[in-house]
Amino acid sequence: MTDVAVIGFAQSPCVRRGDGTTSGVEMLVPIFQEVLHSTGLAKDDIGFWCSGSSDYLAGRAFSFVQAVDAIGAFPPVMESHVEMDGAWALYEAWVKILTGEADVALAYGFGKSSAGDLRRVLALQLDPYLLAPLWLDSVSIAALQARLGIEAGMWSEKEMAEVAARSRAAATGNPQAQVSGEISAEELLDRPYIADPLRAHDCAPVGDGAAVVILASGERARELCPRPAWITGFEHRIDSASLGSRDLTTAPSAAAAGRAAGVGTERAGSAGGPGAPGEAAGPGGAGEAGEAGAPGGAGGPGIDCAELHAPFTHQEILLRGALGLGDDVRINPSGGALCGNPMFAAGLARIGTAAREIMSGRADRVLGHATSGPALQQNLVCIMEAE
Amino acid sequence: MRAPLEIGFDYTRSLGPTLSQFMTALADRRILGARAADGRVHAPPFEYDPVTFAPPADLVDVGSEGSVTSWSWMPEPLEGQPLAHPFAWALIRLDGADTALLHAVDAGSATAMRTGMRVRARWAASPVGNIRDIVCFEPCDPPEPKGRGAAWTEERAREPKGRGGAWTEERGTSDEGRRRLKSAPEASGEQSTSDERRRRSEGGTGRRAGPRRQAGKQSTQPVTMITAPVRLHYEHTASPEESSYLRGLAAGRLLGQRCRVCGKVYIPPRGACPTDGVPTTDEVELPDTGTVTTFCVVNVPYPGQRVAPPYVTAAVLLDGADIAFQHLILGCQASEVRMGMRVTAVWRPRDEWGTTPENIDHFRPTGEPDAPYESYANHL
Repeated sequence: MTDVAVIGFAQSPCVRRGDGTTSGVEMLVPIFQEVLHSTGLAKDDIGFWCSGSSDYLAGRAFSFVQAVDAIGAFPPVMESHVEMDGAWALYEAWVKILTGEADVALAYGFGKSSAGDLRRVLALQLDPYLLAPLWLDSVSIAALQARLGIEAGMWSEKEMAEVAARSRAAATGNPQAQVSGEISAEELLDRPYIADPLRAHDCAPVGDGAAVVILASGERARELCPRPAWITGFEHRIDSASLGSRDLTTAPSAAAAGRAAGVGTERAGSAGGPGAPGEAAGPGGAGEAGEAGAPGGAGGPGIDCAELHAPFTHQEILLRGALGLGDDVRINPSGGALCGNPMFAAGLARIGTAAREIMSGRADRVLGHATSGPALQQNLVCIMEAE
Repeated sequence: MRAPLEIGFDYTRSLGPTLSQFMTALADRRILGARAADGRVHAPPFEYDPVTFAPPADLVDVGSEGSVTSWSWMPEPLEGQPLAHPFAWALIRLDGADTALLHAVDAGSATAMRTGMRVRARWAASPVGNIRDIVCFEPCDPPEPKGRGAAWTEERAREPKGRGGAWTEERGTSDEGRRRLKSAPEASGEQSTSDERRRRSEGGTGRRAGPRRQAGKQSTQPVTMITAPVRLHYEHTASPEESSYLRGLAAGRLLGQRCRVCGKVYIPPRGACPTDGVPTTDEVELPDTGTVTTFCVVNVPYPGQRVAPPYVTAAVLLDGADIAFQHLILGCQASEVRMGMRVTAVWRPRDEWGTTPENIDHFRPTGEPDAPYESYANHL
C-alpha cells in the first residue's frame, strides 16, 4: 500500500467572534499561505483539495463553494467537500492518494460558530423525528452523558475539573488557543453549573477558526518534509443515533476505530508491528489500559502523545479509556478542544497538532482523534509514526 | 457590516411504517416500543433491530410513566424547547421498556431531580401525532409547589412573536379529553390522577402534523407525516471588501477591487482572487456603464414578480470590470436585447438609497454601437 504522510499543518487562531464571513475565506487565505510556504509547495503542486464545513453553521446553502475562492481555483482544481469536520476531509484526501490519483493533497476545515446559536444549530444533527423537534441542545446531551459516568463512578466532577485545569495550563504554550491560563481545579469547582452537572470549564468554548493539513505520498513526502508523520492507521466508526438505547458511558465506535487503526499494537519496526493491526487488541476498556500501557511506552500501545477531540471534560476521560491510552501517554499538549473548538476544523486540528509532534521530533508515534455528532457518536482515529 | 439573517423552513417528513405507528399512538396518548430480537423493548421504537437489522415484528405498549436514568438541568431554556421556564432534560426508561426516551421534565428546580425518580408524561390538550404531543414529563410525587408559582404562571410558548413560528400555540387543560391510559404488560396500568388534572397542559408545543385530529377523539387514520419547523437566527457578516462595496452603493458609487497578481477587477469584491487565492486589496471605482455579455428573456410569471413578463435579466460587464453581475434590462423591448448591447444604470431616487444593490433599479440601453465580441469574449 502507498505510504502517506502528513507533511504540513497550519491553524488559524481560535476566536470567540471573528471579523470574517461565513465563507471562511478570510480565515483560510492566511493559513493556506502559511502551510504552502512551510512546505515549499505552490498552489499548482496540490493534486487534490478537500474541505469540511457546514451549511447549517453558515446559515446558507452551498456555503463551501465560496471558500474555494481562497484556493485560487483557476485553472480548475480537483476538489471535494464533506459536510463534516475537516478530519473526514483528510480521510477522503488520504484515500485519494491511495488510489494514485494524487501525490499531494490538502484538506481544510473551517467554521464560524459565532454566526448563529451553536447549541440550537447542533440540535439539527439529531434524530429529526424524536429529538430535533425538542431542540435538544448539545451541552445538555453532554450533561446527560456526564451524569451517567459520574453516578457509575467512572469519573467525578473533580476529575473533570482537573482535565480542564491541565488543558488550560497546556494551552498557555499554544498561541492559537482561545482559552488558556493557570487555574486550579478547586477554583474551577467553585464556579456555578451551566448545565448541572457541567460547569463552563467542562465545555469547549464556542468560537471561529480554520485548520489545514497537507498529505504527500512516499518519496514526495520525504522530499518535502525532513520528518514526515507517516499514517499507519486511519479509521472511523459510528454508533447509533438513538441516545436512549446506547450506553453513553462508553464510545464503542472510538474503541473500534482505535483497534482498527492499530492503537493497541506496537509501533512499526517493533515485534508484531503494524502488520497485524485490528482485532489483536482487546475491547479497549478503561480497565485494561493499565495492563496494556507499560511504563515508558516501550510496549503496549506505544503511543507517545495523543490529541483527543473531546469537547467536554468527561469525554477526554471516556476516550482515554475507550482507546486504552495509559498514564504514560501525553494527552492534548495543545490544550485540546477545551481550549479552542472551531466547529468543522477542531478535529482536523487535532490530527495536525499530533502530526506536528512527530515533524518537530518531540514524538515518534502519535494519535490524532476527531469526533462528530452528539455524545461522541462518531469517532475517527489517525495513527502517525516517524520513519 | 453585519445584519440579522433569519432562516425558516418547515420540514415535512414522511414517517415510514414504524414511526407512523408510534406517532399515531401518541395522538392516542399511548407510547409504543419495539421488541428486539434479544427480547429487549426499545421505547421509542427502533426502525431496524440494532442486532439483526430487521424491522420490528410488532410494537408493544409501554407505560407513560417511567424512571429517570440520567438528567441535566436547563436553567435558561432555548427557543423551541419544550418548556419556557427552567427544566430538566432526562433519559427516562418507561415502564415496560429497556431503553430510555429523552424528553423534558418539569421539576421546578434541580434540587427536585434525582436519578431513579418516577415521572409521567404530561400530554398536550390536543395531540396530533408528533413527539411534542408529550409536552414534557412531570414528577409522579412532586414536592409541595411552594415557590414554584412564578414558574407556573410565566409558562408560555417559546416561539417569539413576529417570526412566523409555525408552532401554533395551543392551550387547554390536561383533563380535557383525558382517557384511561393503556399500559404495557409489564407496567402497572394507571389512570390519570387528580393531581394531574390540576395541571395545565402547556409548553407551547402546538404542532402541525399528519392528518388533523380532534382533541380527545380516537382516530383510526394513521399519521404518516410530521412537519418540523426550523427557525434559526444568524448574524450575517459582510467581509471588509463587501462592506466597502455596500457603503459605496449608499453613496451612489460602484467599488470593486483589483487582484495584485493577475490585475483582474472584481465587483462585488470577493475578499480573495478566485484565480490566485490572494486577498484583493486595491479598491477600484467603476462607472455605471457596461456591456450585456449574455441574457435571458423571462416569460414565466411568478408570485412577487416586480416586472410584468416578458422582460430581460442579463449579465452586465461594467466597463473596467472582469466579472459580470446580473441585473434587469428595461427601457426597450425584450426582443431588442442582444449580446454586446451597451447599457447604463438607472438609479432610484437618491432618498431611497441604502447599502444595497437595489439602489440601481435597472439598466437601460445607451444607444451606443454594440461592443465588439472580442471585448467581452473572455467574460462569458
